[in-house]
Amino acid sequence: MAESLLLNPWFFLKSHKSSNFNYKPIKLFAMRSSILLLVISAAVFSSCSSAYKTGQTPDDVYFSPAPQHDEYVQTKHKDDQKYQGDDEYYDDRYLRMKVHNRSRWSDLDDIYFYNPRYSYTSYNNWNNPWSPYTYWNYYYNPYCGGNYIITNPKTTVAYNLPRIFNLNTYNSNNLLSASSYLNPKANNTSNNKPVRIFGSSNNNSNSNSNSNAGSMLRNIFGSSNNNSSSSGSSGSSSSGSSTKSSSSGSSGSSGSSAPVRKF
Amino acid sequence: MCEITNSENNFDVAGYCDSIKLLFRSRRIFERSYPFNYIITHDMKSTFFILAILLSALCSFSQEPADALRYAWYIPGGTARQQAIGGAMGSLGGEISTTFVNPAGLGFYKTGDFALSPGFNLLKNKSTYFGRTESDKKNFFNFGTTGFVLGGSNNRNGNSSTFGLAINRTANFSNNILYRGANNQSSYSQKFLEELKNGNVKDPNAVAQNFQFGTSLAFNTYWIDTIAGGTSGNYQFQTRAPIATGLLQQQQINSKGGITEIAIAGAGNFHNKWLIGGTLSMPVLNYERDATFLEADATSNPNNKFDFASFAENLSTKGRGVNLRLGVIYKPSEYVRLGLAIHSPTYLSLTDKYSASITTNTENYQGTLNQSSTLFTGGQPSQFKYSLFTPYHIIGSASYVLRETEDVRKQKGFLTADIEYVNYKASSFHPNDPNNTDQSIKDYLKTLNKTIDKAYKGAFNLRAGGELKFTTIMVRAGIGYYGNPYKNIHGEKGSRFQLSGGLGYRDKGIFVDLTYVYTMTKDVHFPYRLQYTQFSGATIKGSGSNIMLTVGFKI
Repeated sequence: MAESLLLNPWFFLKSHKSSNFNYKPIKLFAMRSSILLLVISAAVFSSCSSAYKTGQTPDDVYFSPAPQHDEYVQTKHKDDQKYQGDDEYYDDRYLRMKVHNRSRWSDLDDIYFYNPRYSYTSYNNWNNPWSPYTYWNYYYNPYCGGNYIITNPKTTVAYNLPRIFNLNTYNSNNLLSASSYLNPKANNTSNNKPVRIFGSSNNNSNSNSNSNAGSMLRNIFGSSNNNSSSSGSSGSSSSGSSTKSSSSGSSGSSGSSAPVRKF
Repeated sequence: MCEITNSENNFDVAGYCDSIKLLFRSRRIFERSYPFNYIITHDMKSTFFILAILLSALCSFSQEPADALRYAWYIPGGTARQQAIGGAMGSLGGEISTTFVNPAGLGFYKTGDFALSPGFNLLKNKSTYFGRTESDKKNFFNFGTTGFVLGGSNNRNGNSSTFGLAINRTANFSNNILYRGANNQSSYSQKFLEELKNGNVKDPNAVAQNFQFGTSLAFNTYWIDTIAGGTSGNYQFQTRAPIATGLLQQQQINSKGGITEIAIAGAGNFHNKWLIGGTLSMPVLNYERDATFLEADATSNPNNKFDFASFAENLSTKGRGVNLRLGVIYKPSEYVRLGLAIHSPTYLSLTDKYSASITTNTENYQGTLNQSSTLFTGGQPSQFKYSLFTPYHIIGSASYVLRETEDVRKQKGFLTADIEYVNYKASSFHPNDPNNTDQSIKDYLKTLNKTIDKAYKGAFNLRAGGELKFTTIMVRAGIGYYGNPYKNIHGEKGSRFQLSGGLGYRDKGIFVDLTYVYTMTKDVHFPYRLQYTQFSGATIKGSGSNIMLTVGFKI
């Protein structure tokens, strides 16, 4: 999902088209965000290009000029104000905070006192309930925040098999010559393929999840005049006596969930 | 009506064993999943065992070979400049998209680039099935090579090195396909009957329960049914679809996703004569497909026990992997560049989530019934983990650059061409789930790999293009051809052809490239394949427009 969003900002919107929610403001926001991101990127990187704003801009496909070397001798800068290690930094910070407000930062004394860096023996901290570094101190101390264990529950999927496919259908010697298999023309002269015509329809809906799917498909074929298929060859079958209906049968128009058959 | 009959066929011994094992395994899993509401009697188990032992017809089941081709046969994306010259970047170099073609080309860099490549695609497919043509289209945003390159200055020996980090939408699976046709040769349901025939399954209880992703659903909704006169555990089966009087069929496939690669690359330039580079890439794959096949009675007969049936399936494939690209470019003389690159097979660790459902209306016989595979799989799609090796690529290339001089006013243009060989039959599936070491699955995937060998072949891809440069303005054109990966088993044939043109502007540290690519594709799609009956596919002619923009900055 995240990857899809990264690759296509409209992914989220498209995947939820079925609801009636008005996505226009979100779409507009996403579009503006994309443009904003592009503009910011352009601004940031165009500042990097300042070296080429006056002269020619190299085209590395043809020739890539080596960058100019400094004409001055470089010296290694050494800043004595910088900390030379973690200890110096922590010491300094501790002193600064204590000076600023002695009482407010008194809890830090515990932190520093029990810090292994200041301990001469590991015995000092281990199993010491007052040590902020001791695990069970956190756990039982009512003043400590709760411990949360974040787990990633895995969904158990009952079925773990490849998708089924009959690979023997790739054996060419089972059937007739290959040329007859690809897109054969419909047999216009066939009399055994009457197509019902339910009148003209411009229904191009491809939804076929409901029980009108058969009627929908027959209507499309019945109203079609855009090709040479057999659909126009048997208009006579649309006689008034046709009573095939999508709602025929015992289940009505919506269909019902089939149980597993038992013998 | 079509019923199962025994006939002589060529059998696959490995597939035969796999079928038996899988049948047993399906049963075990089902029993584990439904211990309370599904009671299996001892007699049923015995019958099942005997039937499995007595399997006399053979077949092998696995994932489709088309899955392997999908992740290997595509037109790779790139920057607008690269796309404008047909995608040829095997020897030219000096462009960030060379990261994904021949990383040695990065060695030309001694400056740095940052590039952004957004794009927009418009696709249209015209599909012809039984003489009837339908069209469908899809528009979507896309992006090409985006990232940065940092070139290094020459050291005392005159050598330099370059580093690059880039992301690229290597393949895009977004597509909509729709076709319809009047068929009086076969029914989709015959593939279910063939599955039963190959397994010599005669127990209707087994049919109703053991083939949860198709045949059982078809049987429980009466798309296929028993033939009257059978006895317990010894039935024959038929389809309710009236093939002789004709079926109106429709297939709709909506797919999306792609392969996005995140790559880190390095290259060395040795005296500007030899350039060597490598790219380590991590592809992220995402593919989602919703497909619905529908067939309806073509007649007006309301009493033939069949109005329509539809098979809907939902597949989600996600995963990631790794691959390596190595390349070398040699400059025998000024202006001339020769390139050779090898792309290793991509190792992908993938997870499929799959579910299927069938809705059948048998009119006044059983009415409209529907059933989903999730009924058998705890309300969730099935899940299967596996690994896939995609084919290796070998690219040879040559370029002529006029001129290789620093003064951009003297840079006039270039011509470049690539030839690429891809052995599509080298794709192979392997099990990849430590918790699922079933030997039958290994055997399945071996059989599938053999089928991939039979279905596909190696093919050449050609890419060529050129540029004319007028100081800061560039004009480009290119052409690309991606050869047929299919062996002709049932008329399979496909190719992809590209024409491209573009404009570029480069000045004041900024470069902007705009490209238009027109793509023509030819492919086939079979809604179903049958072993014992004639089946037909649709020809799909696609046309696509791709508008791509690359905005870049010198750093």
